[in-house]
Amino acid sequence: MKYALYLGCAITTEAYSYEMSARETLTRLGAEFVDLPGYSCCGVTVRSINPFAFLYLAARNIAIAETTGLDIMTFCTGCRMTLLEAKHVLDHNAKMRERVNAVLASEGLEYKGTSKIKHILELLHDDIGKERIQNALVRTFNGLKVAPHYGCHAIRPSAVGAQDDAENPQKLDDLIRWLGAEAPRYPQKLDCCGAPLLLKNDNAGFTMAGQKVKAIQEGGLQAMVTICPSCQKMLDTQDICGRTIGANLSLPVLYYTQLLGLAMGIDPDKLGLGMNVSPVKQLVEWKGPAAASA
Amino acid sequence: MAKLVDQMSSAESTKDVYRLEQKMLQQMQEQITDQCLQCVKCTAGCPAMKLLELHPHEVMALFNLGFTEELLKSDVIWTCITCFKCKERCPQKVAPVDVILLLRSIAVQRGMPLPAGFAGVLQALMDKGIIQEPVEVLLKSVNTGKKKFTDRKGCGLPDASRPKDVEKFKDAFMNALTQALAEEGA
Repeated sequence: MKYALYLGCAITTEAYSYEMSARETLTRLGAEFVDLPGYSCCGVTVRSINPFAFLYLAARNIAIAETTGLDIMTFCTGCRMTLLEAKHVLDHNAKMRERVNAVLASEGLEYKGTSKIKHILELLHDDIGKERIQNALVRTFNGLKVAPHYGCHAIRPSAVGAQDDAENPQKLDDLIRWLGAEAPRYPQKLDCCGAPLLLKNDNAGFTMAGQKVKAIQEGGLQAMVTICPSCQKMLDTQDICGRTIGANLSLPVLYYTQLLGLAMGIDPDKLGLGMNVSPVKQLVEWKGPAAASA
Repeated sequence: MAKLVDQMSSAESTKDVYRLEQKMLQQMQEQITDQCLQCVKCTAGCPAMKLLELHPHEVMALFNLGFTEELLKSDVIWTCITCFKCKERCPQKVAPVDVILLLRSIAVQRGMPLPAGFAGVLQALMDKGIIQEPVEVLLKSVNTGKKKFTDRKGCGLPDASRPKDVEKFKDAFMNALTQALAEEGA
């Protein structure tokens, strides 16, 4: 389980708690990462501006990772989708690959198509798996009702590579249950966090995030877990999205790797839980369903 | 940003760009004429429909009927969240999101104003290859309750990765940005 780690912009420049908790938990579970030098943005926004420049940016990062001879690991769902889409085009269109490689050559890079692109959800669920995760737990979250938030780009578009069912994803549900917690079905499961709207219609984006948090809170679920830095930021900063929809929101929202780390007995400060804005401290102190309702 | 858009739109001779653009639009239109049934499954699941009145099936119909100029000038193509539900759910495997992304890139190539958020990201990428410099984040220790601002180093994380030779990266990125959207005969 050795991977070339491509973090992307959001994690590199802001979502430190995701990187801390992911590195802490995944390395203890047997994953190894090679940090990559010189990478750039994955190109997710450039897709709307110039499809060729988008392919170039994605290919550049894949090419850097390919020099390690390893498969690529992403923690961000946006990076996952972007790299997969570019790989899909470049592996099937020799002419486009030639054009992209002509631009990459100025930095001495070449896209070869030798590395697979994987996301943290597959790593946790398929590579590490139930047994290894459960053997590492020192406590469980019995009775805690957790809403899994997959994020659009973790499961779509499936045409370029599916890590889970696009309409009925289950892997994050499984991962929650492996910690002893419950992952009840909830109607808003596939709803978007609204993050891509911040570039043009920020109020609509915050409304979308607020409505999802509100629905989960009113549905009686006690926490939400994410696997993407953009989703986490939208859903965790509930003062903004709560104000936008005129609701009082207070739902603990955390990265799956933070919840996993707590169950593994890792120091909450090493998991970056002090950077979450939503009330995650109640999960650190979680003593079971009886204590929570008392 | 006006300068950037000028550079991008004057990359190749206007005639060549126009010819390639027409070809791409035509290919996309042929695909939709043959395939889209106007079943409205895309709009039924569209998250931007609820809040921003984006109706992907209408975009498909307008595009198919040749209202390309109207769509290019319309704000509606910039309301898509790119959630890819329409691509997933289309029974005919034609995706409104692909049409919308194509229209966006053609609008940019024509030098139409890029929404400020997109322009900001593009400028940052051209300057440094990543969306922003690593920021300081407020940390309230769970153990001690002490508040402080912290960075990657303070979190015990390795230095931020970024293009080593920024000038070389800029040249290559600009080269990519000024190339035609699609190749001949694609």
